Amino acid sequence: MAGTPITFGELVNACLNNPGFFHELQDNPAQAITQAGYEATPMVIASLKNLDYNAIRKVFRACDPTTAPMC
Amino acid sequence: MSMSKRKLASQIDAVVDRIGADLGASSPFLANQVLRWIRRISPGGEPAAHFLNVRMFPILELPDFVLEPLAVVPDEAFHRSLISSTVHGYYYIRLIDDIVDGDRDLELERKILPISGCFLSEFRLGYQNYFPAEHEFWKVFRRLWTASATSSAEDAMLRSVGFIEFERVSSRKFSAAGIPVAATCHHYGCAELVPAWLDLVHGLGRWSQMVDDILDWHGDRSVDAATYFLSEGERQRRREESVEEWILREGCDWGFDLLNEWMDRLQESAAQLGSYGLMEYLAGRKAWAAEQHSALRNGLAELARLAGILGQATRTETSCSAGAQIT
Repeated sequence: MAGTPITFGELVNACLNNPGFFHELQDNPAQAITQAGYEATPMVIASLKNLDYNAIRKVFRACDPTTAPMC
Repeated sequence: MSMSKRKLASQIDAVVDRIGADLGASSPFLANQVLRWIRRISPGGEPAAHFLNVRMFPILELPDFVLEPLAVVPDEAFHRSLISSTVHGYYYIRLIDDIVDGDRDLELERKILPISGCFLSEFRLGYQNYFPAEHEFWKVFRRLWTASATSSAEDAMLRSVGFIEFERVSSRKFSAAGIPVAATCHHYGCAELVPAWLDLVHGLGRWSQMVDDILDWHGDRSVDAATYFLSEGERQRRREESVEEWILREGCDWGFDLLNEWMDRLQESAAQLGSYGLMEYLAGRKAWAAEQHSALRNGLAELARLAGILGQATRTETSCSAGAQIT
């Protein structure tokens, strides 16, 4: 493994700032992971396909500022 | 949408139409700018959808909750006046808040800021038509309006929020929502109910502020805003742990457990006040909060799995952080 691994905090920020990345990660994991600077090995791709993207999407829906309590 | 919600939606639309017409009589250009701002802050550009949004504090519904157990004939004109006053009061507070918070549409908001005076005057007029200057109601009005303004200003200046500051400052930002509630009690001759209803409004404000703190933690961190939830994260996190990791490990559960505890107390108060509408509303909020809790907990756990996968993956570039590349 080379370079600094992504931290959980960075990933959460990425999720909330760029939800599009997760659509891409689900639709085309090899391309998304390569563009993010990681080697798209079969094991990584298989692990990525097993993620629950619906659960991740619910985080950015819950934390979407456009639906924040408005008072 | 229920019939009562449809009725409320049409009354909100009528108030916004009147804002456009009143301002348009002096300046059609300015009226368009103000309406543009109102639509911009409304989900889907619909002012009624804004006020009836699931996450909106129930400022327009609270007087109906007060009225329900009183067994009196509703004074429709009074309630229309309350809705008009409250919509104007909300826009007054929101415009100032957005400027203080440095909203993304700051240029427009700064230009239309003088209109906040019109909003404030319409907010007060709604009550002046019903309560003479010497009426007891105005003492409550003044106390709540001052509490709302001072809490909002002080909250923006806090650098760290403990429970004491949260209780004394942050949770009091909703105080103005008690004004139409107190007006309803006085109008129907039930001034003795004002303290109990204001306690309930404060409890609901506390609950709503905490929801905001939890679900907007990311936005608050990005502008370096101090909230009770984030301050507690800084206090409770382990030395090697980030606030995000604390939220995943226990912060999310801690925050939602607190919300549940407060909601139980709110539900007890609602039962004592005898408002079934309020009890139904609170049950809906409790179920909604449970959904958000589950969404946050499960989604963050899944993101932790992804972080684990990426931690094991081979980096092809070493010059910048993975987070920067993903974002």
